[in-house]
Amino acid sequence: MNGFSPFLKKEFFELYRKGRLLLFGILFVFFGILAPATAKLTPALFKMMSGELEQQGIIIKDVTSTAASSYEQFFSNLSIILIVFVVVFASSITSEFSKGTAIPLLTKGLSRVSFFLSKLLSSLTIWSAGLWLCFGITYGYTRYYWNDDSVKSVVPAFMLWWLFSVMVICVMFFFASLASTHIQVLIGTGCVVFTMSLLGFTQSIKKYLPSSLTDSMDLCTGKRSVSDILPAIIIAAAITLISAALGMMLINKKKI
Amino acid sequence: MKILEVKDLCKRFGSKTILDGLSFSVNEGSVFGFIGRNGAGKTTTMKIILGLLQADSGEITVCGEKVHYGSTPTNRYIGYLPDVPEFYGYMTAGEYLRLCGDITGMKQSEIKTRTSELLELVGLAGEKHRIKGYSRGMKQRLGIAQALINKPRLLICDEPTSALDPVGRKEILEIIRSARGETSVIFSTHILSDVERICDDTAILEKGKIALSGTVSELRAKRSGSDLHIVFANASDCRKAAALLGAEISDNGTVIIRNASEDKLFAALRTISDSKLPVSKIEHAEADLEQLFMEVIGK
Repeated sequence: MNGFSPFLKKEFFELYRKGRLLLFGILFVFFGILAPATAKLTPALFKMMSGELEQQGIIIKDVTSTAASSYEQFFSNLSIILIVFVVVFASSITSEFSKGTAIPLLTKGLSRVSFFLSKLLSSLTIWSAGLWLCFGITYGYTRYYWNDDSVKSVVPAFMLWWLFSVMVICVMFFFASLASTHIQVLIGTGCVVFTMSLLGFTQSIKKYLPSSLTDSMDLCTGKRSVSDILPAIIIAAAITLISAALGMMLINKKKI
Repeated sequence: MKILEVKDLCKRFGSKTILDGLSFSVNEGSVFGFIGRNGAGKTTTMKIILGLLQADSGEITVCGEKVHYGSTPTNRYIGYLPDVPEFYGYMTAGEYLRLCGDITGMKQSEIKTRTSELLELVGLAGEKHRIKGYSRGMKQRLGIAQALINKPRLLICDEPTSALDPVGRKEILEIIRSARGETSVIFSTHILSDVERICDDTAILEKGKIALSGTVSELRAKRSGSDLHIVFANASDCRKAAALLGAEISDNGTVIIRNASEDKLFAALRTISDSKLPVSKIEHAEADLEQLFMEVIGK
């Protein structure tokens, strides 16, 4: 693990200097506010438009929003942030090799495993901290505006979504350890997620698919319980660990 | 003592053989010029020495320790300057050198003094800008500074002067020359005047092997003789003279007699005088590495 801590420090310094901390900070806060704001404003918007819609023959009665509308909006926005995150971080490893910036440090004794783990850990840290901040904001506003019982286990539902996102990021780093361009990383990661979503149409295997961890509203509303998707949780955790371990092995074999 | 020993190194990329039983060694304290044309395998050899590429067969030792592919511990003895060094553009030179010092595990106080020493040495001491605005020459100089940060016993420079203008080249050569007191240097290039300027030992890499090696003066001595260059006052006399003397004509109209011994010289002067051909310049050209290189690679 030679050079792990200085390289990790460099990774955070890079996130700061390149403005990525600021970018994702703004993004997470924005999406944290967006969900409750959208839910809060929807009834008012419908009310404003009701006159116009009535002329077209659409009659709107009593549109109300609940805490469930806020969380529904929140969970559907999360995939957008994850996609932005993956697109930005897909080049994290490949660009170091294609530009050659990793070479001087690797020849100075920085181990390849330290290089890989610093990259993985720094991106997981910024992702997790940001995501929890985003959730905290939504949670706070939602509690403030709607103190109803339309949602139950929202924290476990969010934690499962977080586990899914960590799995996707680890899969991305696995592809980054063998790919030579960030496009290959994106294609690889995209294919894995897309295949999971496709397989999700088959109900019988759904409970084994990590993508079912993102059916957060089913969990929030009690339609499904955590124990129903336990196999998917175990498989997601296994994919996360295996991707990270394989990534560490493959980076050691990489031709530079 | 040998600081670097390469024995029977072989490397193929697909069906193309790049290194075919390459063997050479570098003495401690010397500057070793590793000459070869583009694509000869110089960079490949250096990457194998650094454990960045895997050799198909052969053995390399640095300071007596065997080099392994991957994260090789022998790299702690080595400072490496890549052919086109790239650094983190968002850092300043000082910040980058501190990172390098931290990675090699140096003490903070040592990093501080070494950083200012090296920035002074490479002429970047007053530079407050970030690396992204640096010219090629400045990057190359920072490259040498980062390679020297942990006082390596072997400095590997991959074509450090190839992409630079004459001023930049001169500066880099001066820096390498001044570093020779504290480290041995292996320096790959295809610019032969650079080798003549700073190298003690040289080797010419051709067809995956060392085609010729020795000190610069030994290599020069290997050439059988030097050439005689004759410039005639009237350009129209060139062809006639070349035919009479059995010589070649260069592109600029100089008549060249290869491997001219004293006898050949006198005979040529006699022929010129008998034919009454006015001459503006006769020069005995010293054999240089370039001619030798051309002979070795068969051009």
